[in-house]
Order: sequence, then structure tokens, then C-alpha cells
Amino acid sequence: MVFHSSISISSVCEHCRSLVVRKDFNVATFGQMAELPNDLSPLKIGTKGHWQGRAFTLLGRLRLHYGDGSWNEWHADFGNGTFGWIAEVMGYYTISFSQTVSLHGIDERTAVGKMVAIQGESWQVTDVKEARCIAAEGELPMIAPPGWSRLGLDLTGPKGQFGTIEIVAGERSFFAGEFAQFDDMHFSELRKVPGWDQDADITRRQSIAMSCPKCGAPVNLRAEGQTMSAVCGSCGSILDATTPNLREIGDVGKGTLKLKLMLPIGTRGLLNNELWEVVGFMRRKDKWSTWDEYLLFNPWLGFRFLVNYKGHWSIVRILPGHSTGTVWNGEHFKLFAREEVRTTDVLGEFYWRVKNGERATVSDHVAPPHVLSSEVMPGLNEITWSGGEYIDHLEVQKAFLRDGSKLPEPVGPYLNEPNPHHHKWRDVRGKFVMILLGFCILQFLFMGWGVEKNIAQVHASYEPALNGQTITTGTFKVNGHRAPLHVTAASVLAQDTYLGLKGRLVETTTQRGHDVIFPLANYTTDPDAHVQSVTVTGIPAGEYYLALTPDAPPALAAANVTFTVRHGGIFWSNFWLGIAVICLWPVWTLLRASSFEKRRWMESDFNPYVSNDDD
Amino acid sequence: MRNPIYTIVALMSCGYLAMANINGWALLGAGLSRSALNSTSYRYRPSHASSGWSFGGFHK
Repeated sequence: MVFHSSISISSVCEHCRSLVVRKDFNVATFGQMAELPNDLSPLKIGTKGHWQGRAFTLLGRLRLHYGDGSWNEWHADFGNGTFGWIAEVMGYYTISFSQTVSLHGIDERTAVGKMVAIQGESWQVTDVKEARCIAAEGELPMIAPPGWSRLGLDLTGPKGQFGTIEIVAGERSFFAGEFAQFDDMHFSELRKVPGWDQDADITRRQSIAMSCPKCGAPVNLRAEGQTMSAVCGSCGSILDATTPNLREIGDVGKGTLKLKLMLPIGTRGLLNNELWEVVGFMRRKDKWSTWDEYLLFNPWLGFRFLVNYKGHWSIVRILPGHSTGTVWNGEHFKLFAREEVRTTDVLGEFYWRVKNGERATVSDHVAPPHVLSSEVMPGLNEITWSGGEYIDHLEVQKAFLRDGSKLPEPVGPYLNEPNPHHHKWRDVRGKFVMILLGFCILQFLFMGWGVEKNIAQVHASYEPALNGQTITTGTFKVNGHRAPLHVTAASVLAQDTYLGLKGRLVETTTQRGHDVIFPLANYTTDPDAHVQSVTVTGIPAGEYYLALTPDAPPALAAANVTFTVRHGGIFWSNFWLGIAVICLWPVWTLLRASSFEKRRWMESDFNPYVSNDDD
Repeated sequence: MRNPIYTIVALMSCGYLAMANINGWALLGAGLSRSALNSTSYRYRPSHASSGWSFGGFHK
């Protein structure tokens, strides 16, 4: 026997499985450990990694079993006489280190859900379970003889830290650390996983097909060692996957085996560049709707759920250590739904003891494309948090359906479906703001360019003999660039008379004209009608006069009309027209986005668009 | 480039504004319509001040 680390106290002989304990320069044996149950763990003795800048090597492991399943605790040597424990459970990891702290008031009677004070911080007890060591391999920093058991209180710290209090024969030890993902620990020298790595060794037990104790049909466990229950595809029995003989623990509904799954169990697909295998299926319902959840497995990444509702898909993972429905990854969430949910059908295998008809209260919080869900099982003072992200159905189709079959198109808006119009708005808003700003600056600059100036005053006289004839004014000069010409006619008329002057503004050289009309009148009901203005657009420099045909009642004896001519200025109608054109598409996308959000929240129990007064 | 049509239309609006201001053009709110040139509504006294010309007004 070789002890590779000075911190190792015991080691399991790889030949005879005896537990060898070293004492000074002597060794003693403490019985024989059972053979490790097979699993698809990618870790092995000798695997290296580093955590927060500290390198470690895995020296040994314990397989701990409790009523509902089992997990691996890896003994990691961090060098310089320090060690930690890496737990591999349900596809995620915890890494913890022994801490010397006061555990006053915490014992085996401390219940799940209780807050406990450790080093001035408030930790919540999330799980209490007694586990016993069913197998071990390699070197360990303690003595865990066959049958050794410990009571563990799992805790979550105020910042989402992981902690566990281990109670063995009245002795309490505290381990604190973090929840981690596979990639967080930068593993190397990993085990080749059977069925996933092409050149992996197939172990003896994996070559033996297991069979259903009820009907005798072969049962193929796809996530062996990670799953706790499996459904026999032949008779529908729910089997305990943690026992070698697959003990029957329940059965599924009558119609479950006839279900045609969109993603058949055993299908593998590359989703977001990660290879996943469909290992389980659940159909769940609340009082409003029914949806499907596919359980995906990858030996390195653990488990994910692929949730499908009316053609909409989300990929969801468990969030160990998470404790709030309002914030996840710095993003703020809104409560969307809270319902009692029942599992009506189960197929394949699961990392918990699945039951047909299982009930839970599920709360969904949304910040599209993300969803944050909590699940509370009746009788358990434990909240399981999971976080998901919307995924396009075509991505799911491309990943898992390679036979050309198609997934149904999504129907209606979904709780975490990204608002397609928000996306369009985000695409355009930068340009919109820049162009709008530029447009306003342009108009501001032109306000100085186009100042209106008085350039002339000309006259015309009317008498009855001229009625229907053309009268002309004197000529006037227009200088400068092209600009609007404003002509204001004013006359003093007798009460209840009118003088309509229709004609043209004529350029003397080219004789080109622009139509004008001055409907002068003097009525008690319209006292301002004796002054009339006309604006003619785009008048270039030149010499002009007005040629007008009068239209007056016989009672009008005579009238003198004065025409005041101004040149220059800009039309604000161009500016407002441009603003309307520039705003049209962005405002349209915003209105569509708002309409989409309203339709999304129509499905919610907590619709912010509906006043509580309506209830 | 995202939203090329929007970008082109919005930039054309800027171009139009510059050209219209330089040349004194207006698409809306200026110039006379054919109906305005043929109108003789000024011959009739409006029934109320500032309410425009009304049908069936007083004929001189």
C-alpha cells in the first residue's frame, strides 16, 4: 500500500478492497469495503483540477447512500496539508473545506427551514439526512469503515454559499464552500465515460443487462449511478435505480406507455454545443394547462430540463443555493404564475424518486428570455429553485430530430418568450436616436439660414368697371436664394362686401406664374377677412408683379388694396413631416412590443396591466 | 447593416429637410389647391366668427 498524501489516514486496497488505516509506522485493516456501484462519473482517482486558483488532486472517494439515493464525496488534496471535499450530486458539484467554528444550538434536532447563526452569519438548513457509506476507494483523510454513517445538515449561506454540518457519534464538524459547475473546477485527467467517450472501458457490470423485476424486460439505465428511479418501458413499473435488482416502487398511468414523445427517450442532440441525451419525460398539468418536461443528461454537465408548452421550448437547470425569486445573475424577475402542479405521466429515468401523480406548488418568475421557478413539494420544508432560458423550437428540432421530422410551431406568446418587437426596437433605437438628433440639429441650423424679410409693398385699385378685367400691381425685386414668398393683401372694405382677387404672381422675364387668391371680405361674423395672405414656395431671385382678376358685388364702389411682400423663412411642416417619417418604424415597434407584453401577461395570475380594483 | 430600409428612409428625410429648407419647398401646408382657386365662398357671410365658411350661409 502506498499513501500518496500525508493527510490520508486510510486507504482502500484496490485488490482486496480492505480498508487499511495507518498509525504511525504501522497499518491496520478495518474490514472490507463493498465494490463501488457503477456510475457515469467523469471523475476518477488522480483527476486534477483547480478551484479559485488552488490546484488539487482527487485521492479517494466515499459513496454515501441515504433513503432516496446516493452520491459521491471526493477527497481532494490541495497540497500543504490541506484537503477539501468535492460532492458530486445530481449533476452539480459542491466544494467544501473543514472550518473550526462554534455550532452552539445546532444538533440533530435542528429542522429543515430553520435559520442558524454561524460566525455571525445567518444560514438556512435546506436538508437533513442520515447517510451511510456503502463503498469507498482510494485514500481518505478519515476512517470510514463499512457501515459508517453520519447525519448531515445541508445549509445555504446568505450569499448562496454551501455548507454542511456533519454529526458522527455526537461530534459536530462544519464544512463550508460553494456550489459549482463542472467547468468551474477546470478538471483534467478525467475518466473516459462509457457510452460517451469512444475509447472508454466498459466495466463488468455495464455489460450485464438489468431486467425489470415485474415483467423481466431489459432495462437500460442511461445515467447509471446518477438516477434514482426508472420506468420500465415494457410494463410501466417505476423501479428504484439505486438498487442492483431494480426494486419496484410504483407504476405509471395506463395511457403513459402509449404516449408518442416528440423527443424519444435515448435521443442525443447537440444543443448550444453541448451533447445531451434525453433520459426522462414528464407530463405535468395545472388547472389551466398541460406541458411536457424532458430530462436531459450529460455526464460532465449533469441534468437539464427541456420544457415544452404549445411549441415553445425552454432549457432549465437546477440552481443549488439559490434562494430568491426576484434576482438571478443580476437580472430582476417578476412573478408570473403560482399554481399547484400535478405530474400525470412519467417515462425514462430521473434523479429523484419520481411518483405518478406527484404534486408540487410551482411559482414562475420571468425576465424574458429567462425564467426562474421555485418548486415546493407538500410536506417538505424545502424550495427547489431552477433557472431557464427560452430556446427556439428550430434549435431543438435541429439538435434532436435528425430524421427530417418537424416540431410544431409555437402558438401565442409564452411567459419567457423574448418579445420579438423589443428585439426590433433594440436594433433600431441607436440609429433612431442618432438620426433624430441629427435631424433636429439640422433644422436648428436652418432657423438662422431662412429669416423672413420684408422686401416690398405694392398697390392695386379696384373700381366696378374693372370687374372681370385683369389688374396688375407694380413690380418688385426678389433677391437671394430660393425661398418662400409671403404676400399679404389688405384692404378697407365697406360692411358686408367682398373683393375676391384671383390671379398669378408673374416673373417679368420668363412670364412664368404661380397661382394666388386673396378672398378679401368684411363681414361682422369674420372681421379679419379684410387681410389675406398667400405663401408661394421656392421663389428664386427675379422681378415680379401680381396680375389679378377682381370679383366684387355691384355695391362695392371702389377699393384700394395694399400687398406686403416678404421673402425667406422655412416651412416647419417639412420638419414635422420628417419627424413623423423618422419616428414611424420605431414607434410602431414599441407599440407592437407593448401589445405583445399585454398579451403575454393576459396569461398571468399577476397581470400588471389589470388594476386590482377590477377584482 | 440592420434595418437598411429604415436607415435609408430616415437619412432621406434628413436630405429632404436640407433640400426643402435651401429651396423653400414644402410638401404640406403651402400652395393652393384647384378647389381653393375656384372657390367663391368669400361671397357668403359666415354664420359664426372663426368657424370657417358654412353651408347655407347668408347670400348677399
